[in-house]
Amino acid sequence: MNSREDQKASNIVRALSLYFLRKKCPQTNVIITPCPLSYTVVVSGKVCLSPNELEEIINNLNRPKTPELEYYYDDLIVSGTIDNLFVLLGSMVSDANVDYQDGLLRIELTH
Amino acid sequence: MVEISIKIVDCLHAWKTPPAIAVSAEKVYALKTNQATFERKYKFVYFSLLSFGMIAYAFLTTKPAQLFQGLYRIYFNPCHLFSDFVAIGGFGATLVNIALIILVELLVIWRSKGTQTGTIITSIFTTVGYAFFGTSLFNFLPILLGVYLYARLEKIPFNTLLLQAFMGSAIGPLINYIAFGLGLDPTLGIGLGFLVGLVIGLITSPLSSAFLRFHQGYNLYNLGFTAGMIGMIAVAIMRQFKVEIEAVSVLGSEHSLQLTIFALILFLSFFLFSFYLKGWDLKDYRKLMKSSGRLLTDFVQLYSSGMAFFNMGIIGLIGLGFLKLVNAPINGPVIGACITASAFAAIGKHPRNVLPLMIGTSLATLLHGSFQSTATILAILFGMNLAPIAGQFGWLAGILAGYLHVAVVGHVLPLHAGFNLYNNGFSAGFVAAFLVPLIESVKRIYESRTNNE
Repeated sequence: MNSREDQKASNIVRALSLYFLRKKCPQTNVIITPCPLSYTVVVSGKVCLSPNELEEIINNLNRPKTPELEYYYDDLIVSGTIDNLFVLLGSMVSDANVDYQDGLLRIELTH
Repeated sequence: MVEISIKIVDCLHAWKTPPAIAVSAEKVYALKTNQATFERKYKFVYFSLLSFGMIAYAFLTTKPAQLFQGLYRIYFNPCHLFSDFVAIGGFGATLVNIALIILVELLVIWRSKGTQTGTIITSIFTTVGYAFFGTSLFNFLPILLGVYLYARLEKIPFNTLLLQAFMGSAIGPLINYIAFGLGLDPTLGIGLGFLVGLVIGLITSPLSSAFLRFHQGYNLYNLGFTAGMIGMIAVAIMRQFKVEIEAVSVLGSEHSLQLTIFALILFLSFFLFSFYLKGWDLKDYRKLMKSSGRLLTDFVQLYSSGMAFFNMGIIGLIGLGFLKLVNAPINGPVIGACITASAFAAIGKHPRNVLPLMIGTSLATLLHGSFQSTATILAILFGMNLAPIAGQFGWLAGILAGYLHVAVVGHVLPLHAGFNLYNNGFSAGFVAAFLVPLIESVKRIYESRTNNE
């Protein structure tokens, strides 16, 4: 892992934290697991989501990985708005798992 | 109370062997992009047909000797803004120049196992547009090679840098100027120019990524902004050495009809290719037009290649229709701008977010300029690159951004002495960086007051 990969993991955390804050989550938990060739970021917290919102998050996070997001556009995920956040994240990560039970949203991303 | 707790788990020592997730980047892309792979070969066929069609047309309408003389004039001359290749080398030679660039790009995409996402389609057609007035194989290759070297040095897959490799050619005229404009011995000039091209390729990737933060993705031509900054630094250094750079304006009008027909055929081919890929299934087009268009809104990924090509055709026809409406001069740069404007309809532009910009730029032209000026027409067509501002903040913000763009674009040209072909992207970066924080601030104040009431 190089410093740029560290920066990417940090950006993912920052972007997801902003999402949970905008959703008025009372407590957001973040777990970052650095591994030799990847990072896993898990962000969870209680938020209110409609079935459509949840479906949109799942669909967007499971978008095909885009090479351009690997190097060029990755910084855009921290540029302030959350409207296309999950599209950008989905195009950037290798694996995504979303769990929503009893109001607790858990997003696990592997980059 | 809002609380965020962060826990970092160190598993570096726990894994002795690489984990299962550690497959190569190419494999990940392949696993997740079955549909893209299916469409990939059709896009290769489309671009190949386009290239060979242009070469065939050039050889059918122009004598080979004339073609090679034209290509020689295109390749070996200082070609900063505005150098109309159609006027310099002829229509046939310009088509061959464009076709050769597309074929090299296809080869690079194929060899690097690149996916043909919206950004790559955009970068191909952007170089097509600029190959009418500045981008040639001569200045394209050193920058491409420089970006490739950078990928090797950073140990990252080259296919993650294709956009920079293709659109880095925005600053290509600097190579030509060093090679042929400084009055150096041709061998020394070409060698020095090539070396400068390599350096530009090496620095383009890290700079372009950093400059995205400057305008937060609201300027679609970010590589234009990057090229402008590189050009500005290069010109400053050259002026330290007392190099005087004269402005160039080589514009022709004798090929207007041929250029219009070429653009029309190209845009119609977008519709035909869209129909071939998707049929006339446009139920999602209304949804597409609701997107802000802010980077990165890749319509190929979000919808489909067919939808992206359809949208490109629409924007191309809007541009062409506008040219006819105001009776604008038709030359290489103007048609190149029209094609580039349509190219970005694969990653953000659509009629709803470009029309406010066109109103703003036209309004500025009516008040302070003329529709008969090539520079002004380019500002109007390229001004569409601020589409995300209209898409995100509405029509009024879009009109204001368009007006400001026309005001700023002429002032930034001397900074890089016309070496940056994407001068409008350079200007738009400043407009976006200036406007967006102000609009967001006004929005926050309005929202806060509305919530208090």
